[in-house]
Amino acid sequence: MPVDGPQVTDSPDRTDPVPVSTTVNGRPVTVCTSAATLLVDFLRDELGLRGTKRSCDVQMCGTCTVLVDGRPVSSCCHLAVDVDRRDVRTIEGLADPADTGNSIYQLFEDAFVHHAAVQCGFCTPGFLVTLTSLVRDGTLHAGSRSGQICAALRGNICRCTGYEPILHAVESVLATLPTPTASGEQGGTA
Amino acid sequence: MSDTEILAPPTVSGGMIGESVARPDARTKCRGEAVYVGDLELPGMLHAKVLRSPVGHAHVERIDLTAAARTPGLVRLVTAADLPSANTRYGHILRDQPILADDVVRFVGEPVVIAVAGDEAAATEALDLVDVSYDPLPTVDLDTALSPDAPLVHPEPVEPSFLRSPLVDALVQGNVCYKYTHRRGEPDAALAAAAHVVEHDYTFPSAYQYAMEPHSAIAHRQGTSLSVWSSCQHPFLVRQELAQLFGLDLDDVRMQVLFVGGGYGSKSYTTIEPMACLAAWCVNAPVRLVNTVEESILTTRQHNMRARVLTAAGSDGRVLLRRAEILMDTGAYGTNGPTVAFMTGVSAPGPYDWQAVDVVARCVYTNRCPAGSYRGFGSSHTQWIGESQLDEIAQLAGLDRFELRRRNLLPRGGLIHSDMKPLDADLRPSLDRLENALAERPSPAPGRRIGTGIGFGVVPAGAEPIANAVARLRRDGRARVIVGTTEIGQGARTVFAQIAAHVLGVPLSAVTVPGADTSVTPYDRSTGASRSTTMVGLAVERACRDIVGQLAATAAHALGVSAEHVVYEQACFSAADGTMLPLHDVLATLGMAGDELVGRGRVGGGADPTDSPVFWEVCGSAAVVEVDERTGGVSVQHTLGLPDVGTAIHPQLVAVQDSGCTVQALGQTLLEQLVFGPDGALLTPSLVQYRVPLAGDIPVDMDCELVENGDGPGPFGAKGCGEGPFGAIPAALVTALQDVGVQVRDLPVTPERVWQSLHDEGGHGDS
Repeated sequence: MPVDGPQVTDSPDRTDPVPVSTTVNGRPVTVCTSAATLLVDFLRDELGLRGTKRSCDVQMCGTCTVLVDGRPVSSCCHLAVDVDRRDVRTIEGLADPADTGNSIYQLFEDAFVHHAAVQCGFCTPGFLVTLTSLVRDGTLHAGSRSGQICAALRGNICRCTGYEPILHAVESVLATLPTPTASGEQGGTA
Repeated sequence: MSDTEILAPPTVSGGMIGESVARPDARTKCRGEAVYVGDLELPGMLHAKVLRSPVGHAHVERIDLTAAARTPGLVRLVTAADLPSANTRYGHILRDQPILADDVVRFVGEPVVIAVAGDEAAATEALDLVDVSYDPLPTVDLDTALSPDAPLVHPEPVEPSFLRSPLVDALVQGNVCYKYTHRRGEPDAALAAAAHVVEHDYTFPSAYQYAMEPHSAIAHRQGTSLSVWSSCQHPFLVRQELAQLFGLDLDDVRMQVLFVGGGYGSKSYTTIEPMACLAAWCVNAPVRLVNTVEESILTTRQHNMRARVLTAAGSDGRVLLRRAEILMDTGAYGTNGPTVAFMTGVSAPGPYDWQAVDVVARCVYTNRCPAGSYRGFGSSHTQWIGESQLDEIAQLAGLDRFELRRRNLLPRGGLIHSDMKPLDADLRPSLDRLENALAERPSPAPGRRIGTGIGFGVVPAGAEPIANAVARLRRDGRARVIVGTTEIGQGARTVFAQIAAHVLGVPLSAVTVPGADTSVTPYDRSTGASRSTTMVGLAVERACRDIVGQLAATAAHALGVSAEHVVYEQACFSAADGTMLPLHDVLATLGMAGDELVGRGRVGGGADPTDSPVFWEVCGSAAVVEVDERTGGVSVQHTLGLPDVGTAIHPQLVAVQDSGCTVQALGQTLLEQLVFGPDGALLTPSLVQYRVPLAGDIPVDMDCELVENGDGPGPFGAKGCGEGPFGAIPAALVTALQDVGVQVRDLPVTPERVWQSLHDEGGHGDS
């Protein structure tokens, strides 16, 4: 009995191959994949990027968070074909030490280690992807208050830490960022 | 390996214990490089999916595989008819659970058929075409299972299994699979002498542990042996069950555990491994079975409970009688239910000095998905009720709640259960600390009320006083600690590395602790019951001391003294006359090409204590809550945890166990509840309906102060942690709500229940 890919191509409803051209962690990827393939499965199974974890399947937990054109999305509820001609960045790309654009990520990694914000680790890449993008897009900054941080993290669940060490880690990183200018997001004593 | 590669010994030794070092696995996990079972890809690996029963109780009349068998990409459909041995049932206490339903399904979600295919999609497609005919049978739940004419979930005889013990003597009678009875003193006389009596009915919901990594396993058959990778907490106990199911020797089943994405009890004992192995047994390839979260809820959950509880006290507030009649819903299969019911019974009196105790707890079969272990079980079920009744007694007796507890709190050496080790901790200083912490009550805003509460978690911990460890110290100063403990996030590998580094006098970075592999790592009963630091940590300490002993013998010879006169400190062996030999000089006498010393550490036997429990895990907690009178919304303003860890080997890891446990317990108390339909169908099947705490739900302030008396049975006086708050926090939250007039008899305390209680005020009281 054959065991791998080719023998399933005669099931037209789910396996009609669709061409996808995308950039994943800076690397151009052009493949044919099924129209039904979820982005999380595409990244994990077809590209072997298994740092992206799969948990709730219903866009609640945030473990599968990746960046599409810089914005965090739940890859469990995103189709692979929808990243055609888009830029995808996973935890592997953000954590790549060769990429000098990853200084924000590195601050968060250091802070998560220092504050013991990592336990089982299953949710951790998702948190770090989310946080990196929220700082890059200005949602979180030096003036962010704890309520804003919690609100920004409502799409990421952690069952081990009780969030407290994560929030401490986030606050410590935000404290090192430059204070936003008056024209940007309001900070301080709002 | 040349001498120049010998690692420099640490400049400061004797540190390490009590030092909050960075977890060696933290960066790996951040970067997504940590490998969990679901990340493994084996050559030729196939994928399995499971068809589950849509009905709660039925005869399986016919399974038609004809249409499904034609599915492209399908390799094999597996049913109960494919079981390889006459042993068709598993379960560590009661052998009642089939791998796949044979003639009867007993809960909605019970596995019936496995499809194995080239990918999960093809397997799912095949299962859509399987046609199963069910002939429905009447279902039972906790309300109906004990009525005289109730249909039986298991009318056939159920055999006891390998973990049935004299203490937890499970025996199936009707729909009851275990009955706990504990009577001491003279309950009726105590009740007759009481000045104040409180008695109510309570309900406790079923929660879902929600380890974020769903249950995952890969199995591979090679001839008559099985290799299994599983996200399980207790690989040796799973091995035992798999060997029995497949008629194999224990060594023919190899269990390997990588990083585990959370457990909290949900991955204790055997879950999906038998299905993965059965599928692999039937095809000549590795088979991967990974649950969805929805399937994991159906695999295990927490026991819901109904209880009638009574507290009787004298006019002076001295507690006379705790009576409890408890029903635990274990679902269709026993799994760890008898132990959970036992612990619930043990925990019902709490840490107070009763004149009489009269507790009965029944573990009941129903047509719901099976229930098993969840963090702090037993204490979580009953402590909130006990503390709530004590506050009611205090009010009736006109006593301050702290004064009432001061008069009744068990001292060290006090009796919790006639057949168990007396309390081995001091709770009184914690009570004083909680009182001080709550001395100043914040004033509420208009329309709000602020209440304070306290609770104690008292959990029989340690499971079994047995553990093994092997330590290996190489000539170049690098060490490996080989243990069967699983790293489920708690930081066991970090703590073992600290213990080894401390005893061996090498840097932490020189120590590695790989995962459990039953073919290599020595037997360890389980990773649970807060036992790893205490029991396995002690074995690690002994294994490393064994190595130091071997090194000392060599050093003594070189120093010209006898081994017992050699002292090892600061990575240096020294004789009484001051002559010294550094560790690396002694290691340099080993063989050149990676020679090593091997140390053995054993806990159990000899002069080691055999008491049960190994220790009582205790934790005092306080909570301050704010209630919105208009909406019934509850906001937790402050929690304080006082976990008693004996000695904190890694204080920061203890503190984050406390914060994690506190928030999970907050979810249990205020938010979480699995809801079932009348036929046992789960109405809250996913994270959309099942609401767990988010970052915005945690207490505004969380404090943790470690209690360290150096009195634990573990290494350096340590004892385990991370479960006590599951008893203490629900009790603290419930008594805080009671403090502002909210009557709590049912968890979770939703805003609706709070609002209802506030609007019943001045009315009928106990309705």
